[in-house]
Amino acid sequence: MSENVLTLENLTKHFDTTTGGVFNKVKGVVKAVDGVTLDVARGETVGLVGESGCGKTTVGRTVLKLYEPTSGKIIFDGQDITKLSRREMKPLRSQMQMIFQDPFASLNPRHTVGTIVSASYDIHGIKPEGGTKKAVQELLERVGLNPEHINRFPHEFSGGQRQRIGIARALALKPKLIVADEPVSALDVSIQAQVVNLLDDLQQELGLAYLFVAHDLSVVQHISDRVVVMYLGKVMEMADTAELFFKPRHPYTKALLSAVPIPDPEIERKRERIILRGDLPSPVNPPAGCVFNTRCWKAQDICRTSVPALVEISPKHTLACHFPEPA
Amino acid sequence: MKPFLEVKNLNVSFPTEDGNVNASQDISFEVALGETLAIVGESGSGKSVSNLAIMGLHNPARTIISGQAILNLESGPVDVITAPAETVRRLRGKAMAMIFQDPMSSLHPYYSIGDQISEAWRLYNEGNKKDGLKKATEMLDLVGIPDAGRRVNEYPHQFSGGMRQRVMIAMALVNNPQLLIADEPTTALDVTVQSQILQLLRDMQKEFNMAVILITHDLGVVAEVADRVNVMYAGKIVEQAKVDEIYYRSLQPYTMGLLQSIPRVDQLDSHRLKTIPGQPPSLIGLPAGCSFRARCEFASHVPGNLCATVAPALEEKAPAHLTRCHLTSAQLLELNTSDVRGSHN
Repeated sequence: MSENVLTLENLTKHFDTTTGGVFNKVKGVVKAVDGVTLDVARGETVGLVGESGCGKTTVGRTVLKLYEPTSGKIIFDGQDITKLSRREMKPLRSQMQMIFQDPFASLNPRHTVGTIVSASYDIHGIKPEGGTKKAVQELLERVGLNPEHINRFPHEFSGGQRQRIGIARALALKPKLIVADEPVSALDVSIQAQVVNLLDDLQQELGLAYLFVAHDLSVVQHISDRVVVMYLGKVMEMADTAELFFKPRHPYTKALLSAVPIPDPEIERKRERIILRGDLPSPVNPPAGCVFNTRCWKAQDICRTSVPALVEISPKHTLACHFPEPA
Repeated sequence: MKPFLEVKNLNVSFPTEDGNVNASQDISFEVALGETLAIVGESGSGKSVSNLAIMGLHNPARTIISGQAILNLESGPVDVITAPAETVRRLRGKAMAMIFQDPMSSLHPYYSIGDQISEAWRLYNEGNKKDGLKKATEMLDLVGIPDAGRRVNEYPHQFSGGMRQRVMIAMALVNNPQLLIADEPTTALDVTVQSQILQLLRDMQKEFNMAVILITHDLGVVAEVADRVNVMYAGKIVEQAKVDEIYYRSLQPYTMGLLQSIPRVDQLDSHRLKTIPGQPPSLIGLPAGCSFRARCEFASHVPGNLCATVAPALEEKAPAHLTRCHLTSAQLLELNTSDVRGSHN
């Protein structure tokens, strides 16, 4: 058994943009994910952060083969799943699950909680010990819901409770990996903490690995063992959480961290921010050289012509930058 | 001198089939020129509803509003709650302006940016379309949109999220308002763009000496920009104080709970997050007593059944520091473990 539950090697996912109409010609390519290499160990949480449009969600979905990868390799639990067909994927699907951002859109409003959570048993033809109902009730209890609510509909629950239903559904088949795409960003602050703690507890109890996709760096810092920073489809920096947050080497990571407001007025008054100019460039036409060069305050000529390679600068700390910040 | 905006005992409720939704109750606060008041709370706490009432943006047929919101204008005070709709309409966009969370749905997709800003300007100023476009270009330049002369003729879809929010700010400020209400202005934006927009709002506040009300759920943003803070829960202000008092010497169990439930990017904490159990109550037929009591960890410190029977009033328990709680300030300070400076580990 390999140590990693998931390994991505140079994964790319390109989307064609088309002219539409009768001829529907391809007019461009969006390189949503452009050469991502990372791994997730058993029982580990890897945070995937970046601004909107950086490709973090696409990575999550491609890992589960909800999108067909354009190139590269996806190795799940020691098995190369890159080229597997839908039918070949099915037995593996029970081991990889997803939690979605929007607890309102991701649950069928016409199905009861019981039907929603037990759907995975039906799809995979699994008869849980002691019956489906008992299994679902145990799951509901485990995620902090009242097991008697098995016959209620999603609209009878609050946002936080619905997110718990989504989590129960993901847990039903005892997966090894859960891709959580912005699982708490739609929730209120006081509810966010409840769900974050739940995810923590479940990981401890069940040895789950999470690929935690989010834009909220404070939550990612709290929950992740390692963190990957993406920008325009590429990995900029990857390191253990403490190292990435307290000794960032990539200018983008540094700027991103300095932009996060800290709930402490005295610190905020003293803080010096790196304010990045402008917005994320279009992924249809990314800048030549380092994709970050248009907003980087350290950019020089080489950054506009040559793509920096992702290299390991110290154990478990990789970086793609021509002019990294001092250690 | 009187503060520019004085809100007194403002109540907003919406009649529904199930009963009245008391969306905001007994709201009183002031904002001075040059000052930023942050209003924080979770969804449904009433933070937007009371400010929409100040702007006169509720449908009068479906809303019951009482209380006062007085703008102390140079020409004399005007209570925008009782004033005729026409008076409020003339103040809107002139003396007071508002920006919203979603800059895409707040801009008209068919009109150019320049047309939309110049329309707002020409409502209150003499000038033809050309003057309006010139003013629009000036404003775009002021809010940091590069190449304003060209972009003034472009349409909303040609702008990114952050740039659209800049356009909204330019439009709100085109008539030099004295009060700007910003309702979650950065919630839809990425952090790097958020810090640009917050910086812009600060610069604009200095430039125009405005009173700013910032509505947000993000306690980090509050710490960054606020002078004073209203914390809202279940339709009421539960704490009102200067920003440092809120973060370092809170006298409100709900605020303490909120501050402790958020992870911080500058502290490595692998311990469990503290949570506020349960969820906010429904605003229809709120039970008697304190709305927060079911989730309050200090309710047991209050003698008798006071929390369940008597709703605490908003009282000044320390200088310029108001809170709704039956505990004394000494008790609250002793129980408070939320001083964010104390939590460094």
